[in-house]
Amino acid sequence: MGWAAALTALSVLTGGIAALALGLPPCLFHSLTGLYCPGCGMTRALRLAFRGNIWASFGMNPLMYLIGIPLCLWLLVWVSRRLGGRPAPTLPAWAAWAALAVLIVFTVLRNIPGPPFCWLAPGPLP
Amino acid sequence: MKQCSQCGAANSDDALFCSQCGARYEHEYSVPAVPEADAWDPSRESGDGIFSPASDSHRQHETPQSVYSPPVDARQPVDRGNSALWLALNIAIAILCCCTLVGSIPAIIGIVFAGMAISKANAGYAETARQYERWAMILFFAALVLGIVIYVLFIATGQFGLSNLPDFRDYGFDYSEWFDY
Repeated sequence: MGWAAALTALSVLTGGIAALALGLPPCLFHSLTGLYCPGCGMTRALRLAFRGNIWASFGMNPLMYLIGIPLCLWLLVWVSRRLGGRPAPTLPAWAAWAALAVLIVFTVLRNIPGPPFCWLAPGPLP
Repeated sequence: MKQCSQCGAANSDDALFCSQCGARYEHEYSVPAVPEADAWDPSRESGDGIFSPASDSHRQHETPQSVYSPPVDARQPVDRGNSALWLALNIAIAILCCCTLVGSIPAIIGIVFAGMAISKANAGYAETARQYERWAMILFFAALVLGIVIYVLFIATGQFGLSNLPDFRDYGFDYSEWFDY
């Protein structure tokens, strides 16, 4: 299963390089619907994080910090333990239902206009 | 007719106990084996009770026998590591591929399948868990490929205006106000 993780890492890396080379890629979902998807603002968040503006980066997409970074660390642990021949770490079944609930609730909330919900929506780059 | 193993008396086929000596017949599916630590040990009893099980000859027939063999898909230890991996990757793709409009739909279904695979594995249903795990894997790759294909097409048409593919900027979608280029 290490090859799957390697393939994912490779595609994310390729996407990252492409995004750097072409400028920030547009969002098809937002262009067509005018709504914010759960990943909206992640590219801006990464760009702000690399510039050192962590607080503004967090505001662009809190989900990246609350789910994305723990998930990446967990995947690293998974790969290292499998490569080391030890049993892979597991996730409880409720993690799946919790992730679904968080994704749906976050998407709905950040599309509600007006404070405090609009604070979850990404804004233009400062 | 079946014969009692203790006194040799003949009994009917569905008898649970011998009609002569009262000895118990072995079941086709026996009581599950009691772990050694939890098993009742007659030697630990003081023996001053009215009922003394150690002297009861019927007790020897109740020793656990593993005659009952469970179905293939029940109570097997299952490796949940792969299901957990597909769950994590599907969550990642559901967030990353959402801007491709439909890219995260297989990933969201994949989250459900991975969750069901882990529940089934926890319950010991190895074969069902493996099937759900396989679907979670297929849906992850479907979402990945779909996301990459749509994204590449979209960027290619938007950035380079490839011949006959639609350029969404022609339809009034000006995203340059959100992105600084």
